[in-house]
Amino acid sequence: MTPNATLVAPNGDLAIAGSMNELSTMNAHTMQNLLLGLRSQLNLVLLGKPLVVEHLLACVLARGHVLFDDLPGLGKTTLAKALAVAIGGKFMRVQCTPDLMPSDVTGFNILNQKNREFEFRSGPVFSDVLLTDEINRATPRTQSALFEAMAERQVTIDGEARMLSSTFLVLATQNPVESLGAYPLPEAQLDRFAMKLRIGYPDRKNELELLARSSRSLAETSAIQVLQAGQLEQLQKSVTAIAVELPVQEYLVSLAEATRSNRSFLLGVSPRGLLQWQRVAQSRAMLHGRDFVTPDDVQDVAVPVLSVRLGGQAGSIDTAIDSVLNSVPVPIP
Amino acid sequence: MDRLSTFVLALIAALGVHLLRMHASNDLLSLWLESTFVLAASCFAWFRIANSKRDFLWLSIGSLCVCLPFMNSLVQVRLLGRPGEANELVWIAMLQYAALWQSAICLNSRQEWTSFLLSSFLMIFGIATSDREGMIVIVVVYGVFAAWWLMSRYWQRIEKGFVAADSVPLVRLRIGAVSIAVLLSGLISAIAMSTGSRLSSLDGFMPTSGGRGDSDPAARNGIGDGDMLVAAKDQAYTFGPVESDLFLDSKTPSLYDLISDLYGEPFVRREQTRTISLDSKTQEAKEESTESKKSSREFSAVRRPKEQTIPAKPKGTDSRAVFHLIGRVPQHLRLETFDCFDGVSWSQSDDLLLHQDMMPIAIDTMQGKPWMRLQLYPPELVHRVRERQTVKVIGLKSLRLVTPSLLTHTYIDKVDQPDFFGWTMDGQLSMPNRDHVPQLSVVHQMYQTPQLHALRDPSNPLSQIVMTEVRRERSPIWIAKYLQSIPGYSEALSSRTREAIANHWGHSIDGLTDWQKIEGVVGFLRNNFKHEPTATVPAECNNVVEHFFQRKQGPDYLFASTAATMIRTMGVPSRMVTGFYASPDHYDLKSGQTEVLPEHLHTWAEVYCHGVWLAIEPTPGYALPNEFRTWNQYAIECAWTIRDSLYHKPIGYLIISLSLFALVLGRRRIADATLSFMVLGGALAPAGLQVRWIQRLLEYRCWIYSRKHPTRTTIAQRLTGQLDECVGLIASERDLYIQAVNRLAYAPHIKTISWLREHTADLRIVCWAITKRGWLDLFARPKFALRSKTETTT
Repeated sequence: MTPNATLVAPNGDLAIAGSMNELSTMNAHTMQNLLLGLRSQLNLVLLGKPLVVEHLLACVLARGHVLFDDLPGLGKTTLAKALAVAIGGKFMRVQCTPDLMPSDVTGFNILNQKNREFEFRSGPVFSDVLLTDEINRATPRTQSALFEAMAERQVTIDGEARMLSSTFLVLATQNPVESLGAYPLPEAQLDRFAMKLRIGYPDRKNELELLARSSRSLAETSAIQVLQAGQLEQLQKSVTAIAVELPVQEYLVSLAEATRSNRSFLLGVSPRGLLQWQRVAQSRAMLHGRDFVTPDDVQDVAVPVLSVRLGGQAGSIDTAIDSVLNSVPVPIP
Repeated sequence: MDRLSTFVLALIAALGVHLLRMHASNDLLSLWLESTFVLAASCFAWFRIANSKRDFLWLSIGSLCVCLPFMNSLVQVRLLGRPGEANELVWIAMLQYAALWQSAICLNSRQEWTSFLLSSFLMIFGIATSDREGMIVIVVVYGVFAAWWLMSRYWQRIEKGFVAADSVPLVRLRIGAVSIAVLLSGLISAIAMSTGSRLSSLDGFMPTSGGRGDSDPAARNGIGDGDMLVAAKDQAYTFGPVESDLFLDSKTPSLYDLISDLYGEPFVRREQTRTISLDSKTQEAKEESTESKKSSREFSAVRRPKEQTIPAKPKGTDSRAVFHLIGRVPQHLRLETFDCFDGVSWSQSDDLLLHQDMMPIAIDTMQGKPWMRLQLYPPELVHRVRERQTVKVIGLKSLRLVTPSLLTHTYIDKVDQPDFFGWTMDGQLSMPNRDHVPQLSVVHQMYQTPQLHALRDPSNPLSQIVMTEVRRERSPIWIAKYLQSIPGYSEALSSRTREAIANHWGHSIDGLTDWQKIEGVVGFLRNNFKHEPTATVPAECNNVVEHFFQRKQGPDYLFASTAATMIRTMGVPSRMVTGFYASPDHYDLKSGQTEVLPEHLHTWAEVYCHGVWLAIEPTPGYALPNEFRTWNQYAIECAWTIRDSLYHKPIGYLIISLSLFALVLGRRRIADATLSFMVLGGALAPAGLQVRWIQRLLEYRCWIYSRKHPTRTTIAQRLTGQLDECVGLIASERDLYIQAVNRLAYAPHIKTISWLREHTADLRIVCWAITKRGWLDLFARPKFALRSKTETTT
């Protein structure tokens, strides 16, 4: 991370960022600028998908992990790399296969012949952004090792607990088409993800621009670092300052009750899921520059948050969530 | 399916109200016509409304249906002179038709609810005002339907969020409950049937007359009628076996006593200058002769005001009634007539031999009863169907019988001798062989109703009533007496008459038939003079008619005198008549009788027309005499009446109808503008309060224009659509407003207040733009829309 980080504003002007003392609290204006910068960088990389970028950032700020359920070649890796660069973190990637071992993910102790001591070789989890491709191909044992790392932000290897990065973020992907030779994630584990995103094909205009861009240069578009060290933590902490008043909380609880009584879902929303939903709604409010949560935020993130944890038929999830949203009245005081 | 159920509900409610009107109405024909028309129109509308785009047509048919009872009542009262329907019934009828129409054309859920509320109100009104069996049945049926309708609405509403749970039926309990219920009901019915219905009547709750030791003499509709039906001597209300009791004596007051009690004693002018020179004996004789003139052959129109005296109570009854009438009311019943008028007094000439021109009385046995045929009338002027009534004389001592004006037959129980009845000299039915009609006699009468349409038609030869020379030769000799006017006053009076007729009809008298001129006189007196029983004529007046014109108010005999005299100047024979007016106010529904009390003594006039004496009623407050019309005649006269009313006050009617029309069409905008006006005060309040008020205004606007938002739309989503309509707002102002509303709803209070304080000025601009919108819309192009577009803003 360079000491003098520059901030790229949307209109292209350069501005000098604040002081290097990350421990000083940032005011709201600075935070908004940083968030704006993050957003613009990611939008540069992933053309024409502002909603996906917004949801991803909301998840990042809420300290949640993301599951991408998408066809191959849509830009997931590019997005993950750009995110890692933008937040100033380390990027690692794991390709899950059925013979992937847990120690391949977490790391292992290896005997150093010279010292006759065990040395720890860290695994991919010791990074800031971990892209796990085709997580449904890994064996359940490997999956559980990863989930433990996601949940507790620490790994235990040979009895020794090692802490992961405080802003450790997992972006897992799975292919919805190929299901042969796969170990589908059980619902209980799916609950650990904050949201499920679907990128989808770009539309015509953006695809043309993508082609134009690629035809001109060999290098892929890359992002610029926006956040300094520790700034992401501060941003994540300041998400808790976003006010959630009683009407909105009651709205959330009513929605949760509605999902639990709806027949199209296998499970309702669990309290853990509800907490994550609230957190994601708070980050979305922060992304929009507000310091309070409105039902709009709750509704907007409902589909990503709910679709990861409510089991049911794949095609009808969206309509089911729609009917849940239709059935609960918005609190209008 | 929903529309059908709403329509059925409204039909049931309309049926209930129709029943109510039927029982209280005295003109069933127009009632049935009206309701059939509205029913047909509603059914037609119900079938066609869904596919039709011509909303204006439906609106106009609907308003016609709603106004129909009012127009009908107007025609009845103005044209036919009937008392018409009670005002409350007219309004309920208008509401009934409005409810029916509304249910036929309702297209969305809110209109269905309105129609449901209207039908329920009609049903509640019905059950509260009537306890007939039919009404109770209708209300029960309505209740069942209404419950079903409400349930279906409820299910529709919760259908979306409702998740069917698995339920396990507890069959055992259900069968058990049903079997217990069946056993209990079987037991109860067995007990009830075995003991007979007598024991099942509750002690002390219902009046009985026999078998229990306590009896109510006035019991009716009980197990047996009370004592009085058996004895029927002392109670005045029964018409039963008393029919055979012809020979009871009584000290009932005579007609003269009644007249004196009611109208006061006449002034007797002492002719002082002449008696002074006479000796005492002749003086006494003169006085006696003035005394003897006081029998009821003269009627002076100059009287003292009425004093409060208690009339003498007839023996054996505790009712003050003069007689009881079973028959059509209101009814004019004649007792005495007078022909000579000298400006002050009406009197009956001695040589008026009307009775010699009457037919001999013969017996016509009909249905086993010895009806006496008395008179026949020319069929062009009377309706051939005879109506029947019964008079029970209670408190009147007079030789004459009270008769309706076109009496044809009469009989008194089993009396089959024609010479029992006779005629007085002025053509009134009497009992010549007795002193007076016995108390509690029951007299049955048949009479006919005049049919006057021919008299109003200028092309009909019957419409010429005036006594020309030719006609006078063909008429009886005594006609001349009925044509004499007040000497020296006839010129002035005839010009007054012409003025009066022109005043009433509103145009010159050239196109009018004779009968219409008579109606003009009657109408003029009814509308321009006030009936004031205490405004008597002072003693020294010589010409009561002129005095009446000056004073413009007086008792009913002044009205009758004036009318009779004015008609005489036209050349039509007329006379003044005293008798009784049976009023519908005293009609007793339970017994079906009308009491005629001494204060119903009344004076009116009669007009001679082609051999028939037709009654006219110039006093306001009393109903016009009944007249018969066929449907065709009715329709023609309705049309003419409506045309005349509109013709005379066109601008008034036009203004009223146009403004009502505009009010109905623009109801939404007017509501919107009113509400926008009411939030103006928010400009002085703090910004937060103003924003809240404006939010309420916007919510009401949505409700007025029937814009529904799905439940999932948030404030921001709803406002983006609504604020687009407000011209003059830029995007940043709109966002500011939306943010303000969001803050007020979902942000912590303290931060909101400080934020609002910063942005007060901008917020006020936005609030003003939103308020202004409500008034700008008022003058946009009108849209005839029954269906409002339901916008769903997302």
